[in-house]
Amino acid sequence: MGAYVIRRILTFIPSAIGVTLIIFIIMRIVPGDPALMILSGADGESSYTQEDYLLLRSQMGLDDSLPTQYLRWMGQLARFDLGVSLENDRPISNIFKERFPVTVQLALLGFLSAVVMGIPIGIISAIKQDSIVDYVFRSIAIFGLAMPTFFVGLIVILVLSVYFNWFPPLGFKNLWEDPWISIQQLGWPALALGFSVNGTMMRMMRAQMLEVIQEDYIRTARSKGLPERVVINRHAVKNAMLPVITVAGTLLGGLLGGTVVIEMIFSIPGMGRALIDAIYVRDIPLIQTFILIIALIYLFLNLLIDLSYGWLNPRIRLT
Amino acid sequence: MINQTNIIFTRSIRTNAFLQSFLNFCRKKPLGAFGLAIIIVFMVVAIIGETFAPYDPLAVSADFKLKPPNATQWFGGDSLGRDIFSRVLIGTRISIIVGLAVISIGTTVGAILGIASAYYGGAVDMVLQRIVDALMAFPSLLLAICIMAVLGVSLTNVVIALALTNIPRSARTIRSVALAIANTDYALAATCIGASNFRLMSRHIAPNCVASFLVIGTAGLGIAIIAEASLSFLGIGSPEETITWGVMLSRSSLDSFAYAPHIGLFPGAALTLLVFGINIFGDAMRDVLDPRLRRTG
Repeated sequence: MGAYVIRRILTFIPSAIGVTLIIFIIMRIVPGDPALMILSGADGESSYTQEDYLLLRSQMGLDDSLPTQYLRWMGQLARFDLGVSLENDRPISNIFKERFPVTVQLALLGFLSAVVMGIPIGIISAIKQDSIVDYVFRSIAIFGLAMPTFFVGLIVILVLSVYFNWFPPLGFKNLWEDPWISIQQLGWPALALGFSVNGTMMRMMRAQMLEVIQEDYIRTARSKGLPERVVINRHAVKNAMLPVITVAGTLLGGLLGGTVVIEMIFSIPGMGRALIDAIYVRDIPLIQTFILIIALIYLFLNLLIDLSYGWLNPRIRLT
Repeated sequence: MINQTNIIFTRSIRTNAFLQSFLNFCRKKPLGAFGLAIIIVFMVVAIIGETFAPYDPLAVSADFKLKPPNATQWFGGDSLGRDIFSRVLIGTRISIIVGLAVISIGTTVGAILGIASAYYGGAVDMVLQRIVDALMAFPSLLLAICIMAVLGVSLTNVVIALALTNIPRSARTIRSVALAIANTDYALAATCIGASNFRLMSRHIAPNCVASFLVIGTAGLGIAIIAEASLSFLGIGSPEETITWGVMLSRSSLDSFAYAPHIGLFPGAALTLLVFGINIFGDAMRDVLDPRLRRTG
C-alpha cells in the first residue's frame, strides 16, 4: 500500500504542473495580450493611450520572455502570493478565503444529495429490474443527465418562488454560524445540483448490483436461508459499492462545474460567482488564480478517490 | 447483362442486410430506437424548420412582449416580443450544428492523437499522454469557461473551447482501442508486406476504431449541446444576436422568467428532449457496437 500511495502522489506533481502550464498558455493565446484585454474593458471599446498600454505591460511584466513570466508566476504561487484583483485592488487570497468555504459547503451538500438520491434508487432499480419502478427511476436518471444544471435550477426557483411563494433568507450564513439559515439557503441549490449529477451514480450502482446479484456467493447466501433483506444489504450492496467510487471522479467534475452555474442562479457568493463576475470585468489575475485553484482541488479530490479505491480494493495497488 | 443483374442483386442484398440489422436494433433496443426517432425529428426540424416558422424570429414587437402561449403564438413571446416558437424551430439548426461541429472537431482530433500515441509509443506516447492528463485535470465546463474568458463571446470560439474539452476523453479511449489493434497479427502482417506508417494507421487501425469513435462521439454530442447552453446562460457563450437554445436560455433573456416562465421552459424542454434522445440512442448503440465501453447500465 505504501508504494502505491507514493506512486500515486508522485503522479500528482506533473499533473499539477501541466495544469499551470495549460492555464498559462490559454491566458497568453489572446489576440494581443492581457494588458490590451484589460485596457479595452468589458465591452472591448474603452479608449486608452499608448503610454497607458506600455506602462501596464511593464507593470504586469509582459515585456519579459514567456518562460521568465511563467517561472515568476510559479515563484509567486510557491510563496502563496496569489496576486491582486484588478477590480478593487484586494488581495486575491482574501477573496479566496471568503468565497472558498461557501463553495465547499454547496459542493458537499450537492455531493451528499447526489449520493442519497443515486445509491438507493440504483439499488431499488436493480432489485426490481425491468419493472415499472425500474423504468421510472431510470428515466428520471437519464432525464437528470439530459437537463442542463442551470435549467434544473431555474425550475426549482420557479416552483419555489412562484408556486410556493418561498424565498431563501437574505444574507449568507455559513453552516457553522447558523446551520438553520444556511440549510435554507443551500438546501435547494444543493438538491438541484445533486439531481443533475446523480444519474451517473444511479446508473453505475444499478449496473454493479445487477452484476453482483448473479455471483455465486449471493446464491450461497440465499440458499443458506438468509432473508432477502440481509442478502441485499450485507452481501450485494457492499460489493457493488466498490466500483461506484470510481465514477465519483466524473461526478466531481460535473459537481464543480455545476457549482459555478448554481451559484449564479441562486445568488450564492461562492468562488464560481466570483469567477464569472471577474470574467465580465476582465479581471485576468482573479480568473487565472481561481481557475487554477478549482482545477487543483479537482486534481486533489481525484487523488483521494484513487487512494481510497486502492485501499478498498487491494488488486488495484499492483497495476 | 448478367453482370448488371449481379450488381443490382448484390446491392439489394446489401440494402436488405442493412434494413435487417436496423430492424434487429429496433427490436432488441426499443428505447434506443425511440431515441433515434427523437433525433430524426430534430434533424428534420433543423433542416426544414425554417419554412414552418410562422414569424420572423428577429422581429421585435411590443404587442407580443412576454405574451403567454396562445392560439397564434404557440410558445408565446419573449421579453422583446419575438415569437418563441419560431425561435425554437430555427434555434434547433444552430444548436445542432454547434454540437456536431464540436464533436467532429474534438473527437476527431482526439482520435488522431490517440491512434498516433498508440502506434508510435515511446516518447510520442509519453508527451501526448501528459498533455491529455493535464487537460483531463480540469472539470470540462471550467476549461471551456477559461477559454471563453480569454477568447471572448462568439460562435466560433464556443466551438473551439468545447472541441478542446472533447479531445482528452476521445484521445484516451481511442488510444486503448488502437493499442489492442496495433498488436494484432494482421497489423504485423501489414507491416511485413511493407505498409507505410500512414497506411497502417489510416487503413488498418483507424477503421477498427470507428465503433468506439461513434460511441464517444454520440455521448459527446449531448454533453456539447448542454455545454453550449450553459456557457450561453452564463453570458460567455454564443453572442446575443445568434438564435440558439442557449441564447434563449441566457441570463439576460430570462430576466422575467419568474413572471413569464414560458420564455425559458420551451427552449429548455426542446434541449432536454433532444439530449435525452441522443443519450438513450447512444447507450443502445454502445451496447450493440462496443461492449468494451459498457460501464453503466
